[in-house]
Amino acid sequence: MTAPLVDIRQLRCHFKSGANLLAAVDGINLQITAGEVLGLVGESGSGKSTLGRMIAGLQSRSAGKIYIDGKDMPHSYRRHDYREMATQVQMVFQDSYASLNPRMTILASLQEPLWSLGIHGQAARDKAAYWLDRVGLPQSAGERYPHELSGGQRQRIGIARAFITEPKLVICDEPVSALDVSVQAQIINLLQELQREHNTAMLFIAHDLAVVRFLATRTAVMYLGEIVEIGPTAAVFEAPRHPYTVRLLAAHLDGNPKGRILNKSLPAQTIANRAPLATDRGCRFAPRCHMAELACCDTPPWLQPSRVRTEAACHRLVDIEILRSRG
Amino acid sequence: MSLLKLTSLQVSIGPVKAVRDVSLNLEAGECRALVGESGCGKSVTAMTLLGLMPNAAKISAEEWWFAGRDMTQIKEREWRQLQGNQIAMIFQNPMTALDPTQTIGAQIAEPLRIHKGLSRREAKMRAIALLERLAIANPAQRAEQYPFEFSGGMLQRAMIAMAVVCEPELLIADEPTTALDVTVQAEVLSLLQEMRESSGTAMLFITHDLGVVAEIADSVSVMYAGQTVESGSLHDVFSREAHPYTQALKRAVPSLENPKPLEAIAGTPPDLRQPPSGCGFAARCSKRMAICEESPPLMSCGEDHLARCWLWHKDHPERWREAEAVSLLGGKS
Repeated sequence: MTAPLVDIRQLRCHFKSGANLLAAVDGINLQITAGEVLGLVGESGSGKSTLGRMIAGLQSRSAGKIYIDGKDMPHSYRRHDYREMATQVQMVFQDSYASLNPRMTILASLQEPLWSLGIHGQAARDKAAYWLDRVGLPQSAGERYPHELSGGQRQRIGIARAFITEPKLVICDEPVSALDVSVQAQIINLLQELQREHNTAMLFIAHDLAVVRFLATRTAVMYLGEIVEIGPTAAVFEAPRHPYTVRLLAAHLDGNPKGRILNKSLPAQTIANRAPLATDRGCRFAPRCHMAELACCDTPPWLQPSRVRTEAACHRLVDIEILRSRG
Repeated sequence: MSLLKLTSLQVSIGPVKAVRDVSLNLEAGECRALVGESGCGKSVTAMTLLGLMPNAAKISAEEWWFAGRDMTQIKEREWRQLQGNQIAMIFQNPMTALDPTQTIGAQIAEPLRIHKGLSRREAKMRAIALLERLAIANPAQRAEQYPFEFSGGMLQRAMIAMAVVCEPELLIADEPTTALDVTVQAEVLSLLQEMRESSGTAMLFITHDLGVVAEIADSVSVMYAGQTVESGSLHDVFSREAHPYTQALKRAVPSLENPKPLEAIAGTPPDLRQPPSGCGFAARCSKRMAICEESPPLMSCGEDHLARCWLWHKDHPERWREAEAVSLLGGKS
C-alpha cells in the first residue's frame, strides 16, 4: 500500500479559555490518500474547521504530527514553509468575500499564488486567464474587484485560486453553505469536476450532510474535538454505528413531505452543547447519549473497526448491534 | 374568511423593485412556507407585513386584509397595536434581534406589559412559565440572564417565547433555524410546531431550505425575483411542481437517500434595479418560449394551485400533456 498523502498522528489543538484548557481538536489520527474526497461533518464547535486549518498550516498545534507527502510538517510555519506548501495544500474558504483582497483585481488575486511560486509576467497572466475560463467566468471578470461579483462568482474565484497551483490536497471549509441552493449546485458540480480532472485529494468540511454524501468517498464525523466515526460514505450514512452519527442523521431534513421526522420521538437535547475541555474524562457524547452507562463517563472510547468497514468510538457498539438486530 | 389576504403587493426601495408582485393567502392556523433565494424579496415581504419598512419604501397593494382590517388604510398608531400583539416575528439572528442590555425575562415580558397591560410581576411570571414550556432548564434563573449568557439554540427559544407570548394570530418566522445546527434545528422546529398546534396561530415561515419546508408547512409559496411564481399545498408544490423554477430548484438540491447528479440552474437571478419586462425566470429557463417576453400572470394549474408561467395558459398545448402525465403518475383525479 502506498503511503497516504496526509498522515495525522495524535493531533491536538488546545486553547486557553480562562482557567480552563479548551480542547478544540483532541488527539486525532487521520489519513487522507491521494485523490480521495474525505468529508468531515459535525456541529459547530466540533473542531472540524480547526482541523482543516491545522492541515493547511493556518493554525499552530499543541501536540501531534502532520506528515504531508511523507514530510514532517513544522509546528508553525515560516515564510518558506508556506511557499513549499503552496503546491501541496490549498484551501477554499466559506466567506469568499473575506478571503479575497478587496483592493486587488480578480486577475491579480488569481495570479498571486503563482507569484509566490516565482511565476510572473505573461505566463502567470495566461494561467490566470485559463482558470478564469475554467471556472466559468468571462475574461472581463478579471478586470473587476471582489465587491463587483456575486457570491457564487466570488466562490468560483476562490476555487480557481486554490486549484491554480495544482495542489495535491484542497481543503474546502464550508464552501457552499453561504450560497443559495441554485448556485450551490453549480459550485458543487464544479468542485467535483475539478477534483476528478486533476485527481486532487479533497478534505470537504461541511455541516450539510447531503452535500457530503454527494461528494465524499469517505466520511468522518467529529464531535467536540474527536472523530467519533469514520468510514466509506455509503457505510456511514446507511449503517451508522455511533449514537451521535445516528442522532445527526435523524435530524437531517430531506425535503420529503411524506417522511416527516419531527413528530417521531427525537430524543430531546436536554444538555446544551458545551465546550470540550482538555481535562474531560470519558466519552464526550455521554451526557447527551441515551445509551450511556457508567463506563462511558470514566474511560474515553477509541475507534473500533467493524464488518461494515466503519470505525466508531463508542463503548456500547456491541449492545447497539444487538439492539439493532432485534429491531 | 382568510386571516391574511394580500394581492399584488409591490414594494420599492429607492431604485430597487424588491417586491414586484406578491400575493399571499393565509387561513387561521395555517402554516405557509415562503421559499426563495436571497434577494428574491422574501424578507422585504415579511417586513412589510409587519409594518416595519422604512418610510422611504414605496408600498402598494391591490388588496391587503388582515383579520378583517383593510391594511392599506391603516394608521401608524394602529400598527403599534398590531405589532408584537396580533402579528409577531421571529428573526433569523437572535443575537442581533435581542437587546444585549436587558435581561431575557424582561424582553419576553415587555409585549405583555405593553399590549395586555400586565404588571411587571405578572408579566415576568408568564415569561418564566413560557420559558419552562420551551424546555429551558431553571427558567427563573435563566430569565434574569442576559442574551450573551445563552447558547444559540436557547436564544432562538427566547426569541420564540418573545414572539408567541401575546398569542399572535400571525407569526412570521424569517429563517429561524438557518443559523442553527441540525440537531438544534430539529428541536426548534418541533417547538414551533407544538406552539402552533396548541394556540392555533397561523405561521408564515420564510426559508430557502426545502428540507425545512417539507417538515413544517401545510402550503407553500415560491418566490423568484420579487414575484410569487408558484403557490399551492405542500403536496402540490413538492410532488407536482408546476413552475420551471420550482422544478429546477428541486433538481439542484442534493438528497441524502438518493445521491444523484445535481442539475445546477445556470445563470443568476435578474438585477431588480432593472427587472426584466417579461417573465423573471425566462433567462435561466430551459422551457423558454417566445411568449415569455411578456410577463405571465398567475395561472391555475390545479385546485388552489397557481403558477406564474405561460406553460399553464389554457391555450398552451403542453398543458394538456403535462396534465395527462400528472394523472398517469397518480395525481388527484
